[in-house]
Amino acid sequence: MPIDAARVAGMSFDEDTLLVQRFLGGDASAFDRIFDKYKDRVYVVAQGVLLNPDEAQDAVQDAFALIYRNLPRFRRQSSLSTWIFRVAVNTAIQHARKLKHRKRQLPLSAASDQEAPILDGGADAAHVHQALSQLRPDDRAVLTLFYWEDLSLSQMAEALGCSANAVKTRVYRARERFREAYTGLGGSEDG
Amino acid sequence: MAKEKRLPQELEDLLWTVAESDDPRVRSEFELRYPHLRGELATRTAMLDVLRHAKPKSGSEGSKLRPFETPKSARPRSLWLAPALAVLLAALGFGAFSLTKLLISSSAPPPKTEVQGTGSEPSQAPPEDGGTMQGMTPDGVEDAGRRGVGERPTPPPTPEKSIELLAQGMSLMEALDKIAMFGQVDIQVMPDVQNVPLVFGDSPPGAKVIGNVRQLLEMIERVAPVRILDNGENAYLVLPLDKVRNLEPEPGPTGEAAPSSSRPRGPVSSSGGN
Repeated sequence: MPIDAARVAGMSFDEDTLLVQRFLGGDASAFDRIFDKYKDRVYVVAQGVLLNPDEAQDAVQDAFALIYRNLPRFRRQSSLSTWIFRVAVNTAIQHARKLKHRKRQLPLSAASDQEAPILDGGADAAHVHQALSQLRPDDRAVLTLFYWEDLSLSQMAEALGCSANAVKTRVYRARERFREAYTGLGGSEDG
Repeated sequence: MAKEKRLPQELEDLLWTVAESDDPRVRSEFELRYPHLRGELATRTAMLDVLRHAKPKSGSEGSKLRPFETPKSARPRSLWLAPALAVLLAALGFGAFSLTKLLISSSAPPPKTEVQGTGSEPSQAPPEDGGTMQGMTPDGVEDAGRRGVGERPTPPPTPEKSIELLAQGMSLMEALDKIAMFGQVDIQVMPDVQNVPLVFGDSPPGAKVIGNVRQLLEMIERVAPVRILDNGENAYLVLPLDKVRNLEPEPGPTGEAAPSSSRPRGPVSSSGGN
């Protein structure tokens, strides 16, 4: 069931604060609630960066394990959701680097077998996937947060640990790189 | 595919802004103003639309997500650190306590099983059954643990047994017998002692006098013509008062008789306690 971003944004502060307090007070079920609330969004980020469902699943588990461990150190300078996105992005990028390293050690035939289409939606989605795969993981993370998770520039700044202006520049550059890759693959040649 | 002519940066920004806008008026205004970029705008709008719709279906794919497995070593630090520290401190405390207890028990003298008189009061021999040894609880557990660390075990004071006597209506011999029986002391009465009735003060009939052995003997001494001597080892000697006066010391310069504590000792020992 898709998450209503507006609804989540409206109620997340109070509920998230309460959940964090309950969890720090020893209520393990509070973390289950946090997981249920954010797992799909973390998965989307992970898959946008990794472009591989299995790797994305592992990244989700690792991200929530990190969140579980470090939640007592969550300083609440940002919202819980943006902090979770930050952990998710960093975890997914680390997985992407490991994945790239692993692929380097595989024979070419085996490496090509790993390239499985992951996005639904036909030819257009396949083009998007291929275009995204030509980008760097951090560019994919920026596009994922901006276009898939609809985060604002300030939210992205908190999630990525940089200023809003830097985010604006990164979005612009990532979008340009994607456009080049996408048009290079023959996508949206209707102009 | 021909190399695309590079647009000015301002126009690039405007193109992306319009392409991302959902407002049709913005789009139509742009197309009216830059009709030659209508195709480019459509291309970018379509690309962004495809990109947005390529978002993984979190409802279908997300539902396949494995449930979160709590890492075994990933309990929140603030939650497991406090109990771990508490357990560690408790273990250290228990270890220190056990070590101290062991050292004390090994350095302390073995508990005495024989009670010896230590003062002027006669000591009470421990009963053979159910009695407690010095330094030991009735369960046989050494009592050192109840005291402060480093404090040597000291013998507990022997409880003084309270004995009841009738304030009126008892004879001297009855009273002495009762004291000897309930106080577990040996009272020897010399032959010349008269068995006089005892009256303790102005007490009404039926009133009782309660005290330990020594207190009751002293009271008897005041109301009966006897002198009672502590003979040691829980033994007392009852003498007729007229026979004892010859042994009393002469009055001092003040004309006052010597106090009873300076009774003639002679062969009689005042040691022993209760």
